[in-house]
Amino acid sequence: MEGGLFAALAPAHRFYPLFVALALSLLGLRIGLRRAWGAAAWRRRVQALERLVLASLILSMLALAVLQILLRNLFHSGLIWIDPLLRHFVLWIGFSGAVVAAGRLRHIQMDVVGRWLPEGPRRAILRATTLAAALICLVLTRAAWIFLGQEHAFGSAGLLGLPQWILMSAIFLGFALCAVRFAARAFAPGEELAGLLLESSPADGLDGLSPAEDLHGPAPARSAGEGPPAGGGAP
Amino acid sequence: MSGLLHNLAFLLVPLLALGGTPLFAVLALTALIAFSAQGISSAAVVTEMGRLTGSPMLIAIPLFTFAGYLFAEAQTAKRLVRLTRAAFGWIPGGLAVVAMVACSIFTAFTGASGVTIVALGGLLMPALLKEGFPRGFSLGLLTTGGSLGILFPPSLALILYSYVATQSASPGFADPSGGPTVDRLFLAGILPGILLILMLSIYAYFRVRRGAAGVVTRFSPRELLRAARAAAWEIPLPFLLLGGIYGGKLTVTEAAAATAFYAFIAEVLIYRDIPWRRLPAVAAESMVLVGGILIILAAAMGLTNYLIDAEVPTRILEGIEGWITSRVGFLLALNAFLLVVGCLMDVFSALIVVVPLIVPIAERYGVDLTHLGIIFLANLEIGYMTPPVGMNLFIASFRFRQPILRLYVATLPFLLILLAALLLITYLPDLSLMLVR
Repeated sequence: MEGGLFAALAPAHRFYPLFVALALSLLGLRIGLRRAWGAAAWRRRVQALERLVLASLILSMLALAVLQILLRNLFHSGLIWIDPLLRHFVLWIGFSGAVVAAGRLRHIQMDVVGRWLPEGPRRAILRATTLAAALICLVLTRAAWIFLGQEHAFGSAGLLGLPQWILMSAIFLGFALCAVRFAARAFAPGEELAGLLLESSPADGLDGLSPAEDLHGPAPARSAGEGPPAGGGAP
Repeated sequence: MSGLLHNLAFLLVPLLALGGTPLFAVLALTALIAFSAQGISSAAVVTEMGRLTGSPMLIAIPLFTFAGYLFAEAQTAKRLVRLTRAAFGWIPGGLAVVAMVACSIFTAFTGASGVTIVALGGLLMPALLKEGFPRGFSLGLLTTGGSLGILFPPSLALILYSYVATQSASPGFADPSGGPTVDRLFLAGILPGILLILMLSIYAYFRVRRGAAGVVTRFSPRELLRAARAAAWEIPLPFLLLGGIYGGKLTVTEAAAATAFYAFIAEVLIYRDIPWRRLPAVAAESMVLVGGILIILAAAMGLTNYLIDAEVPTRILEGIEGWITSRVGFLLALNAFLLVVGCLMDVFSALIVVVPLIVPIAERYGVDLTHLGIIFLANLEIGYMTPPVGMNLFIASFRFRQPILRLYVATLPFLLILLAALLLITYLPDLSLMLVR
């Protein structure tokens, strides 16, 4: 439909085979690295990367916003590109946060059925819904690819000399990574899934934050096995 | 795709949602099906998501959330409890007030009631039991306390409502009060929020006296002074925040940046509660919550546009106009509807999904959109603790290791009181609008 670089790389009608092949090789790489480093080390490194990305995004956002306030109030001036850049930070933070949430299965969801079911059926439902999420993200990745192609072909110049499609590529990258991560979890071995279920329990909302003293001793954050899965908005 | 296929796909949506598929995926799927049925390219769904970059208001969400998580990670909760205790602890039943005030402030800043129950529950539970409150009462109080704060500034829910309502308000209908802006909503929530705490405090007063002989803390000016000194860097923040916004010095977005910066200086540099190496973890953790909310917002953008274009609110209106004729009748039906929504969905997704549908209808019935926001939040807040699936019940059950049935019973009196307060908030618009005018 639209020509240009994006259509040349992967035309919309051939997007799925190309992208699925890419996703499968990423999943293969994941399996390989997990085996080479060990599951725990792989996890540590992934989490360190997640922290690095998210923390740099929010801290630079904060620094820019504070700089703008200071410029405006102390010098009655301001940098014209800061405000639109901050608005694009919202997009990048939103989608990076969503990718991390996908990895921990911590997306907001209605959880009406799962709570009342025993472990086995609950896991089966979790696999099914996670797979559904992966497939939907796959369709969205293709939609975002077409969108980027349009932006690349017709889009205006963005900020700071960056073309608009680069600024908006967070959507494509976000959905692509979400699709891969959901797929990995939908087919994860039983014990990995159990660990995720446990981790996405509400008390983990404070993931590693200092546990307050408990009525009965140390906080149950990770030890309690029968915790309900994340009820959603519970961060 | 043929029409039949579209209808089948639409049937799948509620199944996926109830089964626990991430809500953003469910919403995006609905938008994809709807667009495809109209023959519109799926790229249009993504174009709509790009609108996330269109509003300066959304910048406030990550910044306030980051500030909230800094407070949650630091010893702020302890200092806050100590201070409110020194101030109100001497009143019979005062510790219950302390618990509610501390929880409210905490939720207002962290935006998430689950964090409050987890962070403050362990601190307040033993204290409540020691001062003679029955165990069931204390459980109910802390479960309720978790969500009390969403009516107070700078709660994330107020900001999100303002954003969504402003987007979906029809330009033709001039809101008499001037529209649901964030600064109006921040003010509008204060009196209703205080009303909730006040009504629960009266209940607490009677419960402690009827219970075991309460150990009453004596008022000590010295302890108050010490507690105030310990929290000296945190006490000015609410005043700076509100003063900055209402003194006209700061926009809400700038206030969010200032709050986050202040939190960073206070907790990392002055109190040193958060060591530097912990900072990335705290920042990342807060952004997971933000990502979860923003991606739902993004996914819903295409969908709500479609629903408005398809005139779904108008059709709902035509459907109910026959038997709901008055504003009071509409509000009553809305309350019932939102209570159900509130126990199925968390506050954020409920706002994103439901507000665009209700706002055009509420305009027809002449409801002030700022007042509508407070009704929404009060309802959803109660939904958090409504059996069988209210989320706070599960978090509290997990946190305090109590069976869920016990929590149903423990929260019941609180639920009834909050429902009474909800009626007051709904039918006395002045309660919300007094400060705004």
